[in-house]
Amino acid sequence: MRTILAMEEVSKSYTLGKLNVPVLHNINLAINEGEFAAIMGPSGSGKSTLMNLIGCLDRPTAGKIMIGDMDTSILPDMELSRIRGKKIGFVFQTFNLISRLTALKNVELPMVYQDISGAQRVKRASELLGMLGLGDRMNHKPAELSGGQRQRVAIARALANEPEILLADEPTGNLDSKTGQEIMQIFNNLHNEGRTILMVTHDQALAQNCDRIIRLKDGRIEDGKYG
Amino acid sequence: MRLVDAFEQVSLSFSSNKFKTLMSSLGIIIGVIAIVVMLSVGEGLQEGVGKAFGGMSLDVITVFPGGSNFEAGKFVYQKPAEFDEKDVHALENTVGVKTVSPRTGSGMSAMFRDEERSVSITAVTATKEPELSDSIDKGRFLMESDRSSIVIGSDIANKMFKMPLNPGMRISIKNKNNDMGKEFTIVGILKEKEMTSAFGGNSNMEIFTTHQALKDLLDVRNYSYSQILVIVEDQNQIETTSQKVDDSLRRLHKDEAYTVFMMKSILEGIGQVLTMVKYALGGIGAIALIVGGIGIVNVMMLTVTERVKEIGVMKAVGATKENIQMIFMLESGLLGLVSGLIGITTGAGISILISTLGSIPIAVTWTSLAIGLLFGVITTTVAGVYPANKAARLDPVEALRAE
Ligand SMILES: Nc1ncnc2c1ncn2[C@@H]1O[C@H](COP(=O)(O)OP(=O)(O)OP(=O)(O)O)[C@@H](O)[C@H]1O
Ligand SMILES: [Mg+2]
Repeated sequence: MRTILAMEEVSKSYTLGKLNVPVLHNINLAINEGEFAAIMGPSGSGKSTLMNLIGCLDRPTAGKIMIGDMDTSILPDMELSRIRGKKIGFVFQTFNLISRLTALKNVELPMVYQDISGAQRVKRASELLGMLGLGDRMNHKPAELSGGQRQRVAIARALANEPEILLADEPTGNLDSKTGQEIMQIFNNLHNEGRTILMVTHDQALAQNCDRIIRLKDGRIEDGKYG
Repeated sequence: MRLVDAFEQVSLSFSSNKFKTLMSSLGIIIGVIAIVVMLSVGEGLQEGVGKAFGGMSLDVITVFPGGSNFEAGKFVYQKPAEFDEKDVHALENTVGVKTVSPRTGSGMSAMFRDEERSVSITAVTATKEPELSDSIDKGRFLMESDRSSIVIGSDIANKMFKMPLNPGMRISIKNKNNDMGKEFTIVGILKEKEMTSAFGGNSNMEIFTTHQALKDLLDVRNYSYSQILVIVEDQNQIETTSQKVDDSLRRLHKDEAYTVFMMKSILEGIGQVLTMVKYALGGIGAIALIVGGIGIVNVMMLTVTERVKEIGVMKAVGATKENIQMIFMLESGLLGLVSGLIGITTGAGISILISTLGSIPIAVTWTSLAIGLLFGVITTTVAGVYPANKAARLDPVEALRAE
């Protein structure tokens, strides 16, 4: 089984004025291709911080983060942008769609930065939206969509460039439980198609769907066993 | 990111807040209007003056007796030089000189039927005035043998007397303090000249005759010339030639006063002043533009602040610093282009309106419009650099956290 992501002795601390605030301590973690892992832990335990490091939105204070065979902790900004665009698909709790763009344009956006032609973008984006049941909502702006629909647009956007890893930080956190279930079903389907997914959740029931639960407490991994 | 896509992103953000976008670029629009109007006024001034002096030949050196009696701030009296045939010869043999035409002017009275008018009459050497002989409208030019012929300007022919004058008619010209006049035959009428020269009065009011005829009229055997027109071979060498003319004359008139005058140097001086005036006016516009540019910086900063979250999203889905920078630079550049176009159109309109209502000479030229547009685009683009860099440098995590 190929390791797609490996974290070695990763630490992250923030500096608040003169104060050093450690958030993550010596994290070691390996994620295999095709794995569906849940990350759980109390609020403030560093789950989002961990996701941001994996997603190349932030850099660790120490340690290595290998995506494939590249150590992203030492890559220049330009390369990090490229990895964010091509290898990572990020789904956020608050959707983070661009409100003045239609669903279709939102899904096209990651492809724009990879120089994919307009025609190809539209083709791919409408396929994805169709697959997620939004074929008739493509030209709607986020404000005209329900929460569940917005999150599906965000998932389509995350899939636009066929990423190697799908990162989801509490994707159901802003949804009612029924809609949350629907979104969870989408992730299950994606997992069944062979995608690698890392998902932060507070919901034990949802986490039970995953291959593995990684428990974080006070910036340390308490338990990352398969089960 | 492809340029078309960058344009699309910018146009999407434009169309979502048209009104604010327009308001934000008002400073630039006003600056561009100011530049175009100022340059047009300056250009108009230059053209107007150019027209007033434009008919002047630039290859002429005029020499006349007398001059400023001040030298290095001290009053030095010198007897005015008296020019005669020797001077004409000397000048004709000066390097760079094409033709030399001595002239003598005199105030007279002209009688036609019962009307009497003051006129000025200029005696010329008929063979040395190609420019005059080429501008005959009716009849012929003078011949050296003529003793009682005149050639008259178009205003003398058509406006001075109740009845228009034609070749073949006779008028009587007399020395003002002399009772007895002399009959002259009009042999030719000059073409109407477009301009009235700044110096030497209305050139359509001139009467030309031969030196011998004027001497007869004045009842003298000889006189000195009141001016000598020297036409140079090469207008570009006129400064050198004028120096040589001066040298030739100095030999003959050691301690006498005379003036060597070039229309060209006067025109060049005026031209320089006008160019300065024009750019000074343009500068006022440029200042307005700088103020407008500061406004753009403000607005772009506001745009960046408003779109922090959006920039975070763009970065999260793969936009590089350069992509973000390009989008914002393009946005401000495009803002400049649109404001510039609005500015030059309005500026041209205002210029034309001012010139029509105020009958001020204003010339809207393509150059002025291009300068206005260019400055508008450059100012907004430069004003966009700082906000664009700020946007590009945003930390993605913090940007995403923004509300
Ligand atoms: N930019 C920052 N500066 C300082 N401290 C920060 C910063 N970002 C996060 N932290 C701190 O790091 C710790 C972990 O934050 P993080 O957002 O990763 O928690 P989380 O596990 O995702 O919590 P939640 O379940 O509430 O989302 C928190 O104590 C937080 O205050
Ligand atoms: Mg979190």
